[in-house]
Amino acid sequence: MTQDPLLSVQNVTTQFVTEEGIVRAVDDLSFDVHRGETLGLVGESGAGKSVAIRSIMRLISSPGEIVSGTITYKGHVILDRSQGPDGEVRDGEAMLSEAEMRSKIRGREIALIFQDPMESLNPVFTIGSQLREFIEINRDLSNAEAKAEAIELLREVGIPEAESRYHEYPHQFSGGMRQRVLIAMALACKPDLIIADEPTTALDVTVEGQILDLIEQLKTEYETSFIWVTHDMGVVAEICDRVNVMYLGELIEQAPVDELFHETKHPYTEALLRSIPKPHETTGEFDPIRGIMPDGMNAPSGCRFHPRCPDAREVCMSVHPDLREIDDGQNAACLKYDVFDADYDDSPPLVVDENGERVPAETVESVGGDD
Amino acid sequence: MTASGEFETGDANRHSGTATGTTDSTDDVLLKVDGLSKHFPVESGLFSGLNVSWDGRVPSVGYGREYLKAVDDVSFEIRRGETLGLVGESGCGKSTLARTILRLLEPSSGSIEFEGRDITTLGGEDLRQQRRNMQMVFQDPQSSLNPRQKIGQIVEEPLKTHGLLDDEGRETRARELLERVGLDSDHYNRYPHEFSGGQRQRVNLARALALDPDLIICDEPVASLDVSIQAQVLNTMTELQEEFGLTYLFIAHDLSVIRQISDRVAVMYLGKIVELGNKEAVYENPKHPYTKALLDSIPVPDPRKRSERETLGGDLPSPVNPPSGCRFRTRCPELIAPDAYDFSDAEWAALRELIRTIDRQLVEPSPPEALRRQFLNDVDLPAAADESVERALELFADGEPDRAAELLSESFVAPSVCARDVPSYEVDSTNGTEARFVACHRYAEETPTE
Ligand SMILES: Nc1ncnc2c1ncn2[C@@H]1O[C@H](COP(=O)(O)OP(=O)(O)OP(=O)(O)O)[C@@H](O)[C@H]1O
Ligand code: SF4
Ligand code: SF4
Ligand SMILES: [Mg+2]
Repeated sequence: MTQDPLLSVQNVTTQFVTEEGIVRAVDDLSFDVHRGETLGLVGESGAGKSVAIRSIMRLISSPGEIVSGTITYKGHVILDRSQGPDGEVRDGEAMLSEAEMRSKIRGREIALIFQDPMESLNPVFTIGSQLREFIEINRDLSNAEAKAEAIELLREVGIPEAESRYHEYPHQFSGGMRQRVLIAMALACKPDLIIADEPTTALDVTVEGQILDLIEQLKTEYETSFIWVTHDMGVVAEICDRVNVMYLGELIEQAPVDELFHETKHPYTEALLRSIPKPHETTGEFDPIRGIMPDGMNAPSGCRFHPRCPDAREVCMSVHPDLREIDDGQNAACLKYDVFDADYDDSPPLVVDENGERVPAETVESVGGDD
Repeated sequence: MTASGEFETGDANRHSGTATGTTDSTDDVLLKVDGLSKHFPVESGLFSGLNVSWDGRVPSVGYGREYLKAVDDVSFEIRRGETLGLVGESGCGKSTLARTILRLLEPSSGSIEFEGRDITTLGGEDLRQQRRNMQMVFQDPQSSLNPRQKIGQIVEEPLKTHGLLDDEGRETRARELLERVGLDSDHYNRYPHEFSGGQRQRVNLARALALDPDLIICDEPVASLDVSIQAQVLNTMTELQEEFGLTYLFIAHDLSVIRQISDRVAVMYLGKIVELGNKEAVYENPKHPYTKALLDSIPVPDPRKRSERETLGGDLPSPVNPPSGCRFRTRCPELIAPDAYDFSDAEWAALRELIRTIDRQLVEPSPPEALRRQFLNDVDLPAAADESVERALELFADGEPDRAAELLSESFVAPSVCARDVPSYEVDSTNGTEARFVACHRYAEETPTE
């Protein structure tokens, strides 16, 4: 791709200050979104997916704070922030103000769709009036024009009987239809980028299929780019061009979708793919990822995946791998690859302790009878 | 105390089922549900103004009362030691069915037999005793655990309620159960908030096992868990089943999970079971158009298989006024053509697409020629059919979409067998000797049930 990226996210770190300490919910995140592409953002709960996209929209509020990073979108500087040695954050001059974010970016240039449409719809107003008002505010249209546009959009996203449905309330719509309304709202300003946070997770599989078809159709029609946040590898395979995999606040693999599934590089991605129950074959056994996802407060040292990684070696406990290119266009953060030059091959493998976690071989014996 | 089998329950009902004069073939049937329905009364459509019945049918009961048919005439059996998977989309009645079987809801009609004993109308102490044999595990491990109770108390609670064992005995049993579900016996003194979702679901499993039940009904037990944790919990459930000789009714909307865990599968749509059979047979050779549609709509976790997904159109009809005949007919891609016209497959397919579009008003009012060009370009409908179509297209062009839809529905859908009769057939399974239940008129040449 020779064009400049539509959106460029560089070294963004967002943290939350809690009573128990500081959690880096998003740690040094970097990626690009190109025009017309759908970028997947994948990970289990707690990986930091939602914080990542809220950071892009600058929708992080106390006790959370974006502490550093730059984000540019079509020449706009959404974020340009650095942290001085005193811990104070400093913003660059070109960075958009909160007012500019509201008037120029959010909804107009970049639209957001959430998992639960009820969060974004007001239960006491009709679907139509909410959509019309949104259009009226964001595009210079008269009341009547906005209404016509709203009905047209409802029809476009496949709401049956759009004209009479216009006058109904959110609770009279099924979950799938509400999600269609949010898509209509997202489309209202013809944004170049739509960020969707688990938009089909709460939907039934047949309804999800309808929404995926709709997105596919809108993509060809409007050439909109998407960041699609999900934990469902089936959906990823279905609609994404490239994929970012997150684990405990960090990107651990970045790859074109075919490579991600067929030439998986990172052991976590591999384990994740193995653990999904297959709809089209009976495997008999499930192959879970061992152990549990640690919380952000107690992120493991070295490679954060090491307590659960089947390939973990002692070096993984102390050396923190950054994201590096392993193959053409495919990046991974794993010391077992030569580019890291981490002496992985000579390092002794970790063994599984009684909690199913990976630890050095000696500790298992010495810990022995302990809890 | 070791394995659960030796656990002294002192339950008089426990083995009585096998003593009754059941026949050989039903000997291993643990639970038998026959014609079970659960209807909820709802505000009358006359007053709410929302649920106008398209068929113009009057509500079945007087006083303007209408009923939401959450579960309607459902029959199946579960054999001892097996897992019956119950799959279907949101609102199809899975949870209502589970709660009705457990008698947490009163059945509207039909019967429930447990070990050959009719428990449909059991009450008081008898029902309480019966419940010991039938436990439930719910979806949300958070809300089903009391945050102020320690894990140990939670697991012991059912034992206490039934006055079983002394304090010490209960603690021993609870600790043992914790270990069996993959937790630590030392977790006994901890509180639920100290545990992850997957661990909390294990606590729920331990509690469900406390009374050594025969049947556990699991309602979406892993739906709220991450995939990697889901797999861990499902593996534990499979191990527990073998160890304790458990029978599961396993409810989920996730077809992949159901496939891995079940022996037989029942597929539910709008209050009814539409297909039931051996798991491999149902997944490898689905017969009911809804089962096919469900399986085809799963996004396959492989980007090289993108084109394999297919989409089922339309919305779930209201369970207050479900469609006549086959409930799936408003969305069915295989709807059977009415006998009156001699449609070719292509003609019928094109006409159905037109009917669907007009019914759902997916296009703006447009001149008849335009819609003809869009939908009926390649087909030549029989004259009688064409006449009705032309009249409907004119109505639609004149801004009368409802009347247009009504006319098309009267002419082409109402006369179809799918709209006239409720389908119910036994079909010989191709993958084995076991018969399969399919509620679809496409299988009418096979024996109807009843
Ligand atoms: N107490 C009740 N009163 C009235 N209607 C009810 C009641 N409980 C359930 N329903 C209705 O019965 C139908 C079946 O609901 P049920 O909860 O059994 O579905 P489900 O298959 O378990 O769905 P999900 O997958 O969303 O859990 C729905 O239309 C629901 O709204
Ligand atoms: S760095 Fe080590 S622990 Fe981390 S993913 Fe690679 S092999 Fe596993
Ligand atoms: S009975 Fe008719 S409408 Fe129902 S599933 Fe079969 S073909 Fe489809
Ligand atoms: Mg339910």
